[in-house]
Amino acid sequence: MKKKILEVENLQVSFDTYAGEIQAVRGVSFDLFEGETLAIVGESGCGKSVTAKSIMRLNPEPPARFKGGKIIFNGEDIIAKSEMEMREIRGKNIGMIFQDPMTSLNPTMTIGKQILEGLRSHKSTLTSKEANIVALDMLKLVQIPNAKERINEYPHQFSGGMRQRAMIAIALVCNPKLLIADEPTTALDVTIQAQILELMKDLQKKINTSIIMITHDLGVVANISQRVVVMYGGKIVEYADTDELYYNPKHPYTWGLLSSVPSVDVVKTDNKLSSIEGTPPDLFAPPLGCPFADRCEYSMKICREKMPPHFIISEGHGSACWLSHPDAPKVQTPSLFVGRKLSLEKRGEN
Amino acid sequence: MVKYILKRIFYAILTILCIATITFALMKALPGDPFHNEKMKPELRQALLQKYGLDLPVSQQYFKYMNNLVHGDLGLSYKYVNRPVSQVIKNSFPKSFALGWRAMVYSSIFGILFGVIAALKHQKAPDYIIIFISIVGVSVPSIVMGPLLAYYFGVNLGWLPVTVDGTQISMLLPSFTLGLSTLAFVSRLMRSTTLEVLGQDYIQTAKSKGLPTSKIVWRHVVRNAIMPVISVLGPSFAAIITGSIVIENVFAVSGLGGYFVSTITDQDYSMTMGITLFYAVLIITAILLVDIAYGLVDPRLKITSKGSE
Amino acid sequence: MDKIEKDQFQHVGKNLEAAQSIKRPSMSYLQDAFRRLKKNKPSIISFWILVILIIMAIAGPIISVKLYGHTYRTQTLSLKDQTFMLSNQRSLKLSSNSVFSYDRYRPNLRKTKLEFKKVELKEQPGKLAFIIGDKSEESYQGDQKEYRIEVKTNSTDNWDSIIGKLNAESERILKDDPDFRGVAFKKSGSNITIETEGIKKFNSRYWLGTDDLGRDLFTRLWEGSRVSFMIAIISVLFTVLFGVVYGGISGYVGGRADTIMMRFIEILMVIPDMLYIMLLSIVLTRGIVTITLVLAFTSWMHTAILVRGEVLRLKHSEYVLASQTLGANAKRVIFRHLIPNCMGPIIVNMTMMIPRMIFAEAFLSFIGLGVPAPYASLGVLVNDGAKIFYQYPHLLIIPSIVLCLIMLAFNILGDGLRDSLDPKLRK
Repeated sequence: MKKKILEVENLQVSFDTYAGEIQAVRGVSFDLFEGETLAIVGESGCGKSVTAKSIMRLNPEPPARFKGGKIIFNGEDIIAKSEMEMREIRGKNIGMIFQDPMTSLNPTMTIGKQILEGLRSHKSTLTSKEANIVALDMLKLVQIPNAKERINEYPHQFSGGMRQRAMIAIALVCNPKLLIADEPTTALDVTIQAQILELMKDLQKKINTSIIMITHDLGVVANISQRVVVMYGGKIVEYADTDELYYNPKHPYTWGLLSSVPSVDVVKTDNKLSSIEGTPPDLFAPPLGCPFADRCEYSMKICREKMPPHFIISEGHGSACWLSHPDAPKVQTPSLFVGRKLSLEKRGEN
Repeated sequence: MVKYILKRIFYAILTILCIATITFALMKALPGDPFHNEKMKPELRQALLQKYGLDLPVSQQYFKYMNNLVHGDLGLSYKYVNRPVSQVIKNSFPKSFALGWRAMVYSSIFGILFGVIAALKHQKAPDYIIIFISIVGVSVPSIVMGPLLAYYFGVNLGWLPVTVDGTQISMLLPSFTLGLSTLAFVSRLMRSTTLEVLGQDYIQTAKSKGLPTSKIVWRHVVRNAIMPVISVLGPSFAAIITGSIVIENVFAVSGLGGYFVSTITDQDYSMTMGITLFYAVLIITAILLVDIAYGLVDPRLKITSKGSE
Repeated sequence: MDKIEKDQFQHVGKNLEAAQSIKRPSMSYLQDAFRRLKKNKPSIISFWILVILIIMAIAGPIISVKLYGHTYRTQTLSLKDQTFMLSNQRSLKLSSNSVFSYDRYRPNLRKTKLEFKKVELKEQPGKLAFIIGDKSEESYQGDQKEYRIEVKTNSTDNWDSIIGKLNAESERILKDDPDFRGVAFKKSGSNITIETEGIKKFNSRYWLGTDDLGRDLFTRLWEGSRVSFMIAIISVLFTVLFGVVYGGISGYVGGRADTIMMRFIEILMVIPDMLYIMLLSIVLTRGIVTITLVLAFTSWMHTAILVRGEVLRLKHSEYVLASQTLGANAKRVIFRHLIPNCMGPIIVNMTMMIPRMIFAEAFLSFIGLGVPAPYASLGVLVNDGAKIFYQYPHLLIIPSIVLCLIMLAFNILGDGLRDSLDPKLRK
């Protein structure tokens, strides 16, 4: 049985601004086990970044505020910790890489120094010679060519992909148990994206670290994660194993997301690009019921009045949608997925 | 890197030549000649003109002038015929310099410090106090500040001496007043660059590494925020020089600035131009040094060989 | 799980209007900038202060001439060096003293009050004498009258009896002269203060007093403000005009012409502006026009560079491209797109330049290259005041307050404008 390293239970995070309270995260729960990769998917503004940063308490507090819920990492309550205690954890037990490698590195420090910084502050028993060796090894591990010369160079001398590798090196140098990746490939070319994802999978095996991958790119999700969580309007609307989500999604929002991926299947999609009409709700005044109701063609009266709980579809697969209520009218799954499920089953049979 | 420095030195020399030429041209543009004293006998006048080389055609005068400059000879005063400009400068500049470097040092150091503090305590009490000081420093000219401070701290409260007599403490008030506007300007600028840097992504990265705040502030915040401020220190040196003209008069310091004003009232134009040229060279040299320092500190200029691919 | 009514499952479908409702009101860029500016209290206060000052600058001299016939140049030497508060306090001087010893002796600015610190009565008899009034030419009362008040003490005298003697003597001597009111003697701890009495009232003829040539300060102050404002505003206008044209052309045209134009500016710019100003002022004849032109000439480069930067930035921006794609011609592009978007930084630049101009003019006055006498400008007033600050502080303080207010207000307003016009700082 795999060890559970992170437990997030009913997390609620709000931001107190001039104009009022923004409820960014409104009751999010998920677990993470050793050595696995969990993806958090959603549109901009759905609360995925805030959730991830909350695990490390990286949101500035104020204006961020924990309204409720728990975050238990390695058996310890993160929310109760002081700033000093969090500093111990950050970099050492949890590492994070960010979206834009160009702006996320200090332009006036060499890459080597930026790696060493985190290392020396957490593993002060190392001599500087030993630390240098560790840093160099890390650079080699992320497959930077000519690591020995490169380690003394500045970020502006690295290409985008190389910078992201450097970021990974910085985040993993102390062998953290958890790596949080906030849209690490969004700012990169597609070919580089693939390389970075491969690198991450590779490192995960070598260091046995768990990964939380935040992204809005469903291709990335399919590539790297074993389980997925779909967020919308500050809440989790569906969660499942990755395969299960692709072949048997149950939430209309997930349907919308998956169908909006342009498909090469011309026949099935009538040559039209499908998108979900409308925009995400304003979290100043979040709706009472399901946050997706106004954009959902299947929405019902109850959807606007009451927030749906998570209905269990199968083991490890839940959907917060009234359609999954036993008494709800049966809705036909969009043809796209039916086809996929059939082909999956067929493949399974062969 | 070397290329950068050489380029800067070249421009500096070019500029000095330009200014010297302009100064020369302006001197020639002044109406009449310096010896329009009716009492003077024509032979004496002719002899003086010859001595100064003012009877030569203009182009020859120009070359003589430039030649003299290279040898450090700024000409002779028109009023006090035996007094070379360079000697006057040599005698009175050290006092000005004593005030000037003090002002420069304290205003840059405190300016940077105040700016960082104000940014870190954004929109809290220290921020407002520092903003207030910097607005006052910029809006109240030294002509006003000088006498006011001299009166209140010198005469009324008797804490500080008002005239400079070579002691350390006597230089406190004048150099403080001299550097005040630079202090205000630097702290304002530093505050805004620091605020900008604080919002940058790499500060978030640093925080995510679990670094203590002091390290973050020093290595990441200040080091980046200070860049634009360094480049502004050069021209602020110019402000201190022009400021010294006022301060030295207010505090009765017998330095170059104090002397400068009297050359204008005396209409001793060769002295005025000579001192002006000296000031110009000083300022350009200061800017050059600051530019070089900037080039040494900014890694984007440090390394020009390997570009990013 | 609670039981749910059948009718709750009634199909409703999408509600796109609700989904797309924007909960915050939308407004144009200028409206938004204006709204933000209005919220900025210091900027609004500064704006109104400037309005008041400008109104005073226009109206002040007119009021003064209509009411009293003061102009900025009429001199009344007999009434020189008055302050806004007249009193018939007379000046006071210690003439001889063998009655007490003291640590420090301080007259106030107008010598109407004497302070002795750490006094100690001597035990032997002695003489104490004061001179009240002033016969010298510098006397600000102008009538050159003075009286000597002398008392003798003996060994039995203490402070109270000395007070009594002084008061009695001064009454005896001064009682017939209504201009002299007597001497007040106060002791607190080991300090004694001796003050001449007098009635204070506001100067009704010269509201702010007079300067050392008997000219009305109120009139000169507002005349001077006029001159300072005019010099600053006109030179800024010239600067902006020239800078916008030069920078705009350079940026829009680009290429070699742009490079040459920029090189030219670089050479001009390396020379420190104060030196420029001084050199030019020396050569040209002094006058308001000269100063205006010189100031404009030394500042247009900054504006040109700013404008050029903005034009370059906007030239390649996407909405210009979009507008050109939609078929707009150059004139339309320049007027409807480039210039409105440049205006922000240009206006901020203008607002911040005005105090610099005023300061530069004050500096020129200081060196003696400013507005020639008898014209007044704030710089002239401040400089003249600084020279006799110790004796007649009002001559420095009052113009300084106006000067600093103007500079302060423009600086704060400029800051506020910059913050409100910067789209990145939207709240």
